[in-house]
Amino acid sequence: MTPELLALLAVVVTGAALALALDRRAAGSLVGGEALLFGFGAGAAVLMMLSLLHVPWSRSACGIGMASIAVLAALGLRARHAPERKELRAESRWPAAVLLAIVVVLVGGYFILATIAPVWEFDFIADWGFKARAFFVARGVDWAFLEQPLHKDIHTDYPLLLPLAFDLLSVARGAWNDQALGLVSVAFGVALLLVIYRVMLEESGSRCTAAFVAAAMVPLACSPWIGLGEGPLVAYGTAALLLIRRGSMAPGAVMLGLAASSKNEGLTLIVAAAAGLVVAKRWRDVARLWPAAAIPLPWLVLRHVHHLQTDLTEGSVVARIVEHVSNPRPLLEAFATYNVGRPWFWIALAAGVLFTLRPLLASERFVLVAVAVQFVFYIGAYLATPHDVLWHVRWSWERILTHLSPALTYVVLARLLISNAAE
Amino acid sequence: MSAVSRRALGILLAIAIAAAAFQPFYLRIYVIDRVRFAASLTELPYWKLPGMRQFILQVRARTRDGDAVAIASPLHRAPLWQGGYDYLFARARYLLGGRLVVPLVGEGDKPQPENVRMATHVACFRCELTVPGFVEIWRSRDGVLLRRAR
Repeated sequence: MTPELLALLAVVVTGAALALALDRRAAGSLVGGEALLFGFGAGAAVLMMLSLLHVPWSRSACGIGMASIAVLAALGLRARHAPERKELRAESRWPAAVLLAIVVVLVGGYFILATIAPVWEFDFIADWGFKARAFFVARGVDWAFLEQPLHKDIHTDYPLLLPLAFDLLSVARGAWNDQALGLVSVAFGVALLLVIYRVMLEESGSRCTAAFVAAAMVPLACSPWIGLGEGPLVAYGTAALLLIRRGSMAPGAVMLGLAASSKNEGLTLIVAAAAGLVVAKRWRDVARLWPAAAIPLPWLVLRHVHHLQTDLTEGSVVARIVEHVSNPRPLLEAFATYNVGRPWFWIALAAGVLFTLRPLLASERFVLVAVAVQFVFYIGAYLATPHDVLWHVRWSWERILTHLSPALTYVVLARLLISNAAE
Repeated sequence: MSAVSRRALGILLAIAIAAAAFQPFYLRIYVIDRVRFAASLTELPYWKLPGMRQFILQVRARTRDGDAVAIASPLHRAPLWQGGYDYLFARARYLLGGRLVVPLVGEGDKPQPENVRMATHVACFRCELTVPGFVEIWRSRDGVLLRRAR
């Protein structure tokens, strides 16, 4: 796995330069988390640019591209704010050390799982991995492959950040090694946990609280769907909401743009985040989301130019919505029938929401509204689906709920552990 | 409710959320038989059609990037996860990455023999086949591989 780990190192170095340039408040583990997240975005952008310039992918071409981005980012480094950190509470370091050790052990288990065998998820085989493998063989984004009528069923409209992340690792090896590609899922999970730890540390001023929240959120950050778009979407989307929540608009908006470059649901998350800002009366920050719209725009243009259709918008969308709204029973039955993941988790989270309702409504309007609006978009997708609604809910319901649960869990834990401590 | 009891309840709820979210498998994986588990995961996407993975990997070894491989099989069309033709086709497409994989069965189990025109090879899983203009180049107990005659 050495070539893939070296590729990850290049991702981290490039991403660290971007993190320091984009986030003047980044410090501690936040730099590491942002480095991984921005680095994958930079790597995917390099591979896309090489393809558009008809330069075949190679280690040297990728290396030069990523080094150029790192140098440009370093040139753009601005005066940095001293990291805003509450005075850390005087507390024993042992509880935090034990909790962080638990995080390391759990992430280690996730690493073993993710890399124990060639990625086995069907959506990897039929979509994410299939595309990445075709591009790797072509040493570039293969438009003929995407336009091939026989490939209409592989979601050719999906954004390409994740397949290109797989390709980055494959180019480093010079061969397709699908056993190592689970590393990408691990990297996204780790990145989100690093962000969570630092944001909570700065918010709570307690190493113990930050470590507890990181430990609690390992299963939410480390997506069980290895090799699928859920990992990057959850990492970028949650990091975006947490950064925007604390006022780090530039890195937050870039994270949102990268979420939209990971899965189509990321596009609606931009709208949801804007709605959250409006309700939180942060009007000026809405315009500062512009990078979120700018980053996925080239892909949307390319998708249009190459006639890569989105199945949800095929045929008469309005007629399908009207039909499903006038007869909601199949949809409601599907929601009642199919798995929402861990029921005890949702029950505990609901109890946490009820217990902290007042402080949540008072100070977490941005995240609550963003999550709620995104949820409405998901219901809208079910109403507009051209597929059998039972089938659609069955194979996506649990997964899409995991997009929303980390941000919601974070704010509930923050209000449970910080608001009550403050009182 | 007093501030102390409210704080205690808050901590208990936070612990409950953490406990309910906990994924025990990320710990259990340290003690299970990982060699066996890895072997089972490797076969997992293909288990409904025993022999399929090895057959397609052998086809891959005998074809090159850019070839077009038509997939023939007596299997019927069925949802992707039910082990029918779609199951075979979707998985063969990934294993044969770099080749164009061509279906020979369409909607409603309708044969699409005209698609053979696109193919440089025909991989016939669990069947034997003669196709005019193609010659057999490999055979196993799970099927045969034909190549367009040069």
